[in-house]
Amino acid sequence: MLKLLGAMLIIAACTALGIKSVTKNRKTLKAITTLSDTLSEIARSINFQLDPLPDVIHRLGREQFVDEDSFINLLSSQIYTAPEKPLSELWHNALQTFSQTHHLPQKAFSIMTDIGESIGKMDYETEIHRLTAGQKALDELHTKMNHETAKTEKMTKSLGLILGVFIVILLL
Amino acid sequence: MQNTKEIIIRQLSEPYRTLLSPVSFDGLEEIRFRIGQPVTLYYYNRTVFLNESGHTNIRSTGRNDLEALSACLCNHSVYAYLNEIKDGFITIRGGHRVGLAGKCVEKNGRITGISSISGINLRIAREYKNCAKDLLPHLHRIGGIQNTLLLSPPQCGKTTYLRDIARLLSADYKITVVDERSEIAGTYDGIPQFDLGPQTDVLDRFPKAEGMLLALRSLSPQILITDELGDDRDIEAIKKLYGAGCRIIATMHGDSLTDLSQAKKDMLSYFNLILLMGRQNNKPAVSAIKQLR
Repeated sequence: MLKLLGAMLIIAACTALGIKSVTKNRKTLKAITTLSDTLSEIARSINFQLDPLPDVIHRLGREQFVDEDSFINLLSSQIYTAPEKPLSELWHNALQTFSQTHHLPQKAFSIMTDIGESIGKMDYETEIHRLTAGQKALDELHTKMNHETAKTEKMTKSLGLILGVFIVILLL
Repeated sequence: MQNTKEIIIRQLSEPYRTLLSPVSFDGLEEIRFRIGQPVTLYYYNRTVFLNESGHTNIRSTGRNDLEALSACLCNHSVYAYLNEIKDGFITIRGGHRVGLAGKCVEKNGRITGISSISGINLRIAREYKNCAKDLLPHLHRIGGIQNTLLLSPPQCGKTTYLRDIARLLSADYKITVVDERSEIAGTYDGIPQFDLGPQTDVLDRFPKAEGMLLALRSLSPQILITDELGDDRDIEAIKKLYGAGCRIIATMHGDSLTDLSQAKKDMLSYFNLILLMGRQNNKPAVSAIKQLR
């Protein structure tokens, strides 16, 4: 009975590991989608209202990306506390914090970093162009990762289960 | 004054926040940031080179300092200020004006911007409420307000007086201010930073002549106020305002009535009252009042 219980626990733990890995991938995908939407909304606000970036960022954080740990809210609080610092530095700090909690892949991180380096320093057309290009690159990355995740999702879950069974067999 | 200082310092980048924090803003008219040079403070009666630690260790302004400063002054959004930048200046919170020196960016023969910023001139705008109060009896005549022109060389307080005249007359009249260079109202983010009274509309950054005609068509002002009249298009606009019975109060650059260009002399015929401005005890003041007719 004890052996059976132990075996079940091991199998359950390994399956949970598989599911955790899948959940992490999904969270990463969701983060990429949110970043893409963020860039799209910033571009839209600049396009229609020509509002300064700090205003755009505060407003988007208040109205659309309300999660406290969303990138835009992290950036908003950075701007609020240190408005004298260059925006690229604040953007980078917010991105790093966001990346740590949302397991952002290196590619998405570098797309966002590139935008952060130049945002707010160019004319209207170039700003819109850069933001739209960044959004497209994130969307492409999302599509690619989504495709790969769909392929590996079942396999990861099954592998967790199989690994559990394998460990039980070894122990028996 | 403390408020002016706080408003300005909050809009600066480091190291200028720290450098300017202990500085007195009393009588300060301009702060200049020039590449390779120390920050220079222009008070109404003296010039001070700002340094970091006393008198010898002058900290000069670097390219990165100027870039960070201009980004901060543009609220990290160059695109939002591009129309102003191409005219060589931007207006920041508090109505203060930031002039830019650098390399001209041209497109199809027109200036579209300034790159490689090499100098920034932060001109501190001031509001002296009631400075024009004593002038009001001169402005009034039977039937309303006289068409009035304030004439002086630069830096003699024309705009300061004009701003106060707008505020004082706004208690009794509908006023439109055509503020081509955002100097009278100091509009920032759509909000006039100076008190122009309860009945004043502001046409911010409208070309003067077009703004005057637009005001006449759409805002039906009893008095129209504008800054720095000078070219032929201004005369045409003034003729139309004159014909429509709208009163005009404006400023014009000039040392004296005799020392004006022909276009400016032609303009004088539309005004009844000329206020000649100058400086007394280093403060702007009206030096002479001439009733033309």
